[in-house]
Amino acid sequence: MPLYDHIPYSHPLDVLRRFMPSPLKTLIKFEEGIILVETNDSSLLLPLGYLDSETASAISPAFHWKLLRDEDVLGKPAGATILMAGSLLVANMGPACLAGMDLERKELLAFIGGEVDPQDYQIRVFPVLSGLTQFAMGKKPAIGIPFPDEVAGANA
Amino acid sequence: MFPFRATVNPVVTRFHNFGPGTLPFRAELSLAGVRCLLSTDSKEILSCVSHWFSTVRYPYPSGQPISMDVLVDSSIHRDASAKAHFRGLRHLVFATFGIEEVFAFDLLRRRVVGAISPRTASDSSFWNTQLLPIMVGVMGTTVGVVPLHSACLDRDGKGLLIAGLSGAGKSTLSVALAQREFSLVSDDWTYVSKDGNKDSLIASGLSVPVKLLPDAVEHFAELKACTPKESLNGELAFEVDATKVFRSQVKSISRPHWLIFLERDDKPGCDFIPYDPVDARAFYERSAELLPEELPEAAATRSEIIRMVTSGKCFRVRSGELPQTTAEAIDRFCNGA
Repeated sequence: MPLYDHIPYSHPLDVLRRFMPSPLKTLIKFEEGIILVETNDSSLLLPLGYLDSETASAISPAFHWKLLRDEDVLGKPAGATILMAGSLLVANMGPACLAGMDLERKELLAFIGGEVDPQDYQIRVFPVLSGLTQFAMGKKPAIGIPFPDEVAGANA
Repeated sequence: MFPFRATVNPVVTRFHNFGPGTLPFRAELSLAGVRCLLSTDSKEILSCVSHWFSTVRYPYPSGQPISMDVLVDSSIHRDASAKAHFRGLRHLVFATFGIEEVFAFDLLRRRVVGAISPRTASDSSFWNTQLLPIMVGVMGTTVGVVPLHSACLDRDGKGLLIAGLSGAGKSTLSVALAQREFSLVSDDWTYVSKDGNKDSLIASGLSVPVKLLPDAVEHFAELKACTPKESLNGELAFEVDATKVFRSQVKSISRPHWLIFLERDDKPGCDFIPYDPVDARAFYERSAELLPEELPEAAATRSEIIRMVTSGKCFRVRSGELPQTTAEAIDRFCNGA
């Protein structure tokens, strides 16, 4: 897959950057599921295992990730604060990484800042995105997100 | 019963579960027609927002409420120097205040969740001039309350909406009008909703401070005693209470009656030119925030409200005069219209 040159994005009516283009799309294998990943930066796909085209054409994805490189945001990701509220899981690592997992819609939406380098991404950000997805798949996350049973027990 | 909290590892430092029963303090707020069901574990937050308790505010609440769950964590630090940061994707909007304080807005489920520091929890200015206006701006359209980038003034129950490009002088003119016979509803963002099932509209403001650029001191001597500061969008501006600084009357609601589009002109004089409602509608549609395809009802509601706002008489006001002179001309115009 060719690397994508970042194109500066600004739109006076889209201050939230909802409509930042994400032209790269690929299917990846994650745990036992298949995820459709949509992004504007191929370096965000590097930790992922691609499917061969024959397999990809035969499978419909169970999840959708939209990962946007947000070049204008400076700084490194902090430790994640996870908020779980009904169907929504939010991971805040500061402006350098904001992610939300919609459990009902099976969608992970994330902004990743311009100064998050490959090492930051692999060590700090990707484990959080993976953990949110494992949780959504009903698996015990590899990182410190309590599994639903543990959460219920903790609140009892 | 308190929210589950854990410090788990260096990648995930905090986990908060907003499960049932975890936030014991509750209140119903009414903000510019938006009903907000607030749940929190902080009495300080309730104290800060008591101005908006629905028993004492807006008489025309909308149907669907928005739920807002806010948790205070003493391990979260406030970074008062950091600017607010906003991003959105599809139906989710994120707002961070510094590194550790965050709010997430789910526009599909009309739900807001946030985790903040104790200092922010007890900061009345944060709630009343930042977070709650942001909440109404982000979520309002999903419950039929449409933010319009317009000032609004009221005279005898009739609302004067003032639209115009940024820099046209809406806020300055609003203050000049509020020094005459008009009451100030809003100098910047006005929230418009239908009055129940009636074919009429309610325009609301949020009683936030009036924001004036530093050069406004040339027109209002009252500002000489004030100091401009950096506002939420990074601009240097005066943010002042119009009732205290200008002794203006303030109202929370009005009914849209006049609509003018303010344009600066190099030539002296103040002209009122009829404006085709189709063009007025196009102006509002063109300047409205892009909405995601996940929210078709919100987009339709906004278009309907814009159609209703622009269905009456609209005028372009081209003025090369001082704000006070323009206000005097508008005052006369409204007397005769």
